[in-house]
Amino acid sequence: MEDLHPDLLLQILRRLDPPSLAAVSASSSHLLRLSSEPHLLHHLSLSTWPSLRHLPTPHLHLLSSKSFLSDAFPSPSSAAAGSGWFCGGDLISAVDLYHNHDLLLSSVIVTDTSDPWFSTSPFRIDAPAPAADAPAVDPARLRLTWIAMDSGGGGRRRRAADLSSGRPVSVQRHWLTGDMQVRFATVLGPAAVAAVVVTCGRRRGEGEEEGCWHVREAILVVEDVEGVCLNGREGLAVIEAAMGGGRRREAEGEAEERWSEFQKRRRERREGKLRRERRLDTCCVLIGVSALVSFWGLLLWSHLSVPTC
Amino acid sequence: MASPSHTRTVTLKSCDDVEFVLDGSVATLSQTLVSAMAEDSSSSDDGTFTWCVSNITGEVLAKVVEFCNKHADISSSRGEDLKEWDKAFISVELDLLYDLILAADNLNIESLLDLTAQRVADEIKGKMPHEIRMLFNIEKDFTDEEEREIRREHAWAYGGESLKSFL
Repeated sequence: MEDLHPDLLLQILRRLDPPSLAAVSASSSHLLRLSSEPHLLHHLSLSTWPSLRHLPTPHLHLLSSKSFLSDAFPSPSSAAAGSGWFCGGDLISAVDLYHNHDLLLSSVIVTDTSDPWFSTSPFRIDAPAPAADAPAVDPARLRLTWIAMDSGGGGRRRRAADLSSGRPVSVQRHWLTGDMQVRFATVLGPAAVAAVVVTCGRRRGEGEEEGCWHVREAILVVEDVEGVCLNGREGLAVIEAAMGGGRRREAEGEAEERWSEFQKRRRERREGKLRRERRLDTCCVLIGVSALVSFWGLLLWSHLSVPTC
Repeated sequence: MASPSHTRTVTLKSCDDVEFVLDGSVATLSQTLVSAMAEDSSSSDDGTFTWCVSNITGEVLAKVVEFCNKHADISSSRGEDLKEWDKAFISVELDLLYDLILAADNLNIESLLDLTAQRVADEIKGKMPHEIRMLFNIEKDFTDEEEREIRREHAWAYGGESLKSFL
């Protein structure tokens, strides 16, 4: 196969997915050189994440680098110690939402992180809503990628990471609104999780009783282990650490597993907190009761011990 | 003056002198033949055109002609049926597949090139480098530096021990 003309080989390599290209590049030095071809990498990035074609022009060259694929394709597995380089630049999100194989939503969102408002309010990035005529969906069959990139500058290496789990880790009805909430979560370190929540609402067509699910919105939030949304500065630090950390190709179901483990930890934390509070309550009651008893006892004793004339 | 390409008949001659006669409309699938016919004016009288394909054997050329006939036949080449047919057509040995790629490139038949390249890509998907080397008879020829680069770049997919067996 190696004897084929490089153009023909490139025709073949264009049709691979990133892990297969990685395997091909590790088979011989000729193929290693060919698979580092910027045009090929650019094409592969665009076919893997169609939203990247909306990337602002100054950032397009990022797609031609080999490190982009190895940064963005696998899931973040460990967090690097925050170095604080991510301050002031833009955070770029490239979002692709699929239902089966149909692309429902594909867009790029640029968030200005230097805004003081962003740092102090809860970390939240909204993806634009899908078109009004988007087809009905089965929420459990949604697939999502959410590539976060830093906008670079200062001569440092630019990083990217996929913050979505690909497949949903949970699909639940919201207790109040009745909307379906689909979560794509990636656990980033022991104390934080990046979660994309896709909300689907029912829309009734003509003559339909129940109505069908339609995607209404997709938002990215970063939560701590207790389920509290982090603010912009803290959320950004978590994402920065994930971008700089290790990567791992996840086996099927691994994201769900990590999520349920995280949920377990969250539950334990909550139960522990409740237990502590209950103990504190009991202590307070005991102190109160004993104070009352000793007060009355003292009163009674002083009353009894007063000598009668 | 040469007659329009789709009204002529084309004779394809393989390197081992096997001849195939194609309808002009079938030959238009090959960009090489289209441009050759446009340039040619010698055989305009009898409406035939002969083209020698120097590096393709009769066996491979027969497959190519079969493909072109099917794809040029508009009445049958629609949607799912054609896909099924393509799938059956391309289920061949790797050696023949390799020759078909060369033939598709030589005759510049885009649909055949797409089909063959996709088949090779499907063959590669999900395989480890050593399996790819075995499949395509590739020799491992990395310099130390390249090997280091691969280990560093592929750590995400095949960490630790498995990276050693990966190479």
